[in-house]
Formats: sequence, structure tokens, C-alpha cells
Amino acid sequence: MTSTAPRNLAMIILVLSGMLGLLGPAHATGKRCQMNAIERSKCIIEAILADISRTYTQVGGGGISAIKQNSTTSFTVSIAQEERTDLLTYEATVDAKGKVSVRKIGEDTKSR
Amino acid sequence: MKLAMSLPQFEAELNTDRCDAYTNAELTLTLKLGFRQINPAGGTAEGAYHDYGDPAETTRKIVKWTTGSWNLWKQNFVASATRFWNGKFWLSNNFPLYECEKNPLGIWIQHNPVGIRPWDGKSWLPAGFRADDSTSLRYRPNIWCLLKIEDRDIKLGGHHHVIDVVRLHKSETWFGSHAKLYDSLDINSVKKGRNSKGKPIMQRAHVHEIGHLLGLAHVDVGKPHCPPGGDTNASNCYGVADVDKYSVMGQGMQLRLSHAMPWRKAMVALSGKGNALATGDWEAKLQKLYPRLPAEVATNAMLTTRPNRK
Repeated sequence: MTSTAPRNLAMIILVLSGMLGLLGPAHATGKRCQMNAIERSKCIIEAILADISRTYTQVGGGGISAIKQNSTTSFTVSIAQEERTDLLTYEATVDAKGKVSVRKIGEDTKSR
Repeated sequence: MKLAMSLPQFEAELNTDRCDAYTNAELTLTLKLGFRQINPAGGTAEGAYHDYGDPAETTRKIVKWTTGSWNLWKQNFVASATRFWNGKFWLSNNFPLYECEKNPLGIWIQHNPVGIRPWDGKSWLPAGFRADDSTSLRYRPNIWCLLKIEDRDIKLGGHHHVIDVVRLHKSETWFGSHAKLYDSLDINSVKKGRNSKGKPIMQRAHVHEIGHLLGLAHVDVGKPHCPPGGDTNASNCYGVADVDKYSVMGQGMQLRLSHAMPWRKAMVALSGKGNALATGDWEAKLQKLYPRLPAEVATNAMLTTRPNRK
């Protein structure tokens, strides 16, 4: 009980700081990210969302309207805005330890 | 004298009838808008409508317009958008046009490109009439920029723009609008973005859209991160630096001198003088500019405080 408490606290801090965008380059980490396709894509999407929280400043609008997988490691996030939809495309890598890193490789706009 | 012209986007009228030591000419741009209700399908009280009117996009709950809610929304739209844009700019008149003077008999007369006439604007003075320059005071009026938004019955036609409007259900906080499709919340102030310090930037969408209807582009169009040949609705076009984000043609509510461009272009067209791309022609200010005497014109003085005239 006592030995797991600090670890749980660390996990909470990690999750909260990720949500607040305080972690620097967006990444998720852990063995679960290697477990299967669902967990891997979930880890990638979480890392992408953390990056959007940190870097996307036009916080009005309708929020995220779609997340589309383009390839095993690439996703495009659609964000609804007045007059347009912003399309943010990310590429992810998952290393042997299950650490996920994402990099924004494209910003596009669909005008309305 | 009244000069008018009609353009596809709006009408423009220059009124120089009133001219004296403190009164400028008035340039009114008129937008004739036709508003059209979007109601739930099948005459039901509640329904759904897609963002941007695009069936592939997210649906939002909508409710049927009532006569009262519809009229109130239109009144609020017109009143608040007019309040934002109307009477905010003055253009400095750098041409010898529309001047008026009080002659030794105490009569105000007006100089026009084709002659001079008395103050009442009805009867022309004889050709060749000259006031005594040694004792009269000639004033050159500047141009006060006005905007009139006309809520024109959709059945009448003749609109510059027709705009569809959905009435959102009270549970909804946002709808995907564009220049020709609005929602009932578009007249409210909402958080559009945030600045470099994380502080919210607020905007009322309809005043931004009126800017587009007047021909204004997004704040950063023309900068390297928003080239004119690209998609000028890209997020970078709404401003990257805080100062640009705050613009009404960015994410905020601030007016800029560049937003006087529709009036400047109209003055060039109506007067046949100057070039809207030349900064010194019909130069815009966000403060009242009082009419000038010849000596003040000669030094290009901008009279922003009320001068003491005899």
C-alpha cells in the first residue's frame, strides 16, 4: 500500500501535467502503448491531444469534430471553427519501450 | 450635393449638403441584407441542422423561430453591427473638393467641381461668382464614414447579401457559421482564441462577418504565413502576433485604420480623385478631423481637437 502511493501520485501528476500541456514535446509512454492496436492508437491520440492543448490557441469554435487515421502512425484532427475547419495532421513513432512521440506534419484548412 | 453609386457589395452615397467650420461631408455605405429563417424540417418545434449547412458535418439542435424571437434577433444584429462600424472613421480630404466658405454677406456657399452654390444646395450662384478671398473663410470638409445596414424584406429582392439563420436550442453553445449562414448566438461575445499569455480573446462573430461583406480580408492576409493566393481562411490568417489577433478581422474586436478601406475606395470612385493604395489619399483616422482652412491644408494639419473658429 505505502510503496504504491508515491507511484500513484506520480501518475496523477503526469496525467494532469500532460493535460495542462506542461510536458514539452507531446508524448505518451508505457508498456500498454505496445499491447495491441487499440492501445497503441489510443496512446498516439492522447499524445496528439496533449500537443493540441499546448499549441492550438484558437480555442473558440466547435471543438474537435473528427479524428481520422490516415495510416498506422498518422492521424488528422479536424477542429470546427467559424468559416472553416482546421485540419492538423500528425505523425507518430512508438519505440521499443512503448514511448510514443508525435510530430505535427501538416496544417490545412477547409474553407466554408 | 449628393453623389451616389451602386456596387455589387453595397451602395455608397456622399452627402456634402452640410458644410461649415465644424461639419464634415458624410459618406454612407449601405448594406441591404435579406435574412432568411432556417427552421426544423417538417414544421416541428425542434430539429437538427448541420454545421456550415454541410450534411457531412456535425449536427446541432435547432428550434423553430417565432415571430418575436426572429424580429428581436434581426433588430439586435442590425443595431449592434451598426453601432460597431458606423461613424468610426474620418478620411482626410487632401483634394480641393467640396469646400465651403462664409462670404462677407454671411452666406455659406459651397465650391464643387462644377461651380459654387449657396448653403441651401438648391439654387446655383451665377457662373464666375467669387467671394472676396480677403475677408471670407474657406473650409475644406473631411469625410465622416457611416454605415447603414438595411434589414430588407426577403420578398422584395434587391439584396446585396442573403443570409440564412438557424436558431440554436438552449443546450447548444456553438454552430458552424460562415458568411452566408449564421446562428442565433453569432451576435454574442464568445471566446475566439487566446493571446501569448493565455488570456482569452473575445469576438462577436457578426461584426467580423460584416467586415467581410464590406470587402475586408482577414488580418494577416498578405503576410508570408498567409499568402493571398492560398486559403485566406487558414488559421494563421486570423493573426499570429497578439496585436493582429486583437483585430476585428482577426480574433478580436479592435478596429484598425486599414478597416476604413471600403470607405476610402468609395471616395476614390465617387470623387474621381486619388488612389486608395496611396496612404496620403483620403487618409483614415479613428478620431474626428475638423474641416480645415487653406493654411491648415497647406501644412497637412490634422485637427483632432475642436478649433476655435470665428
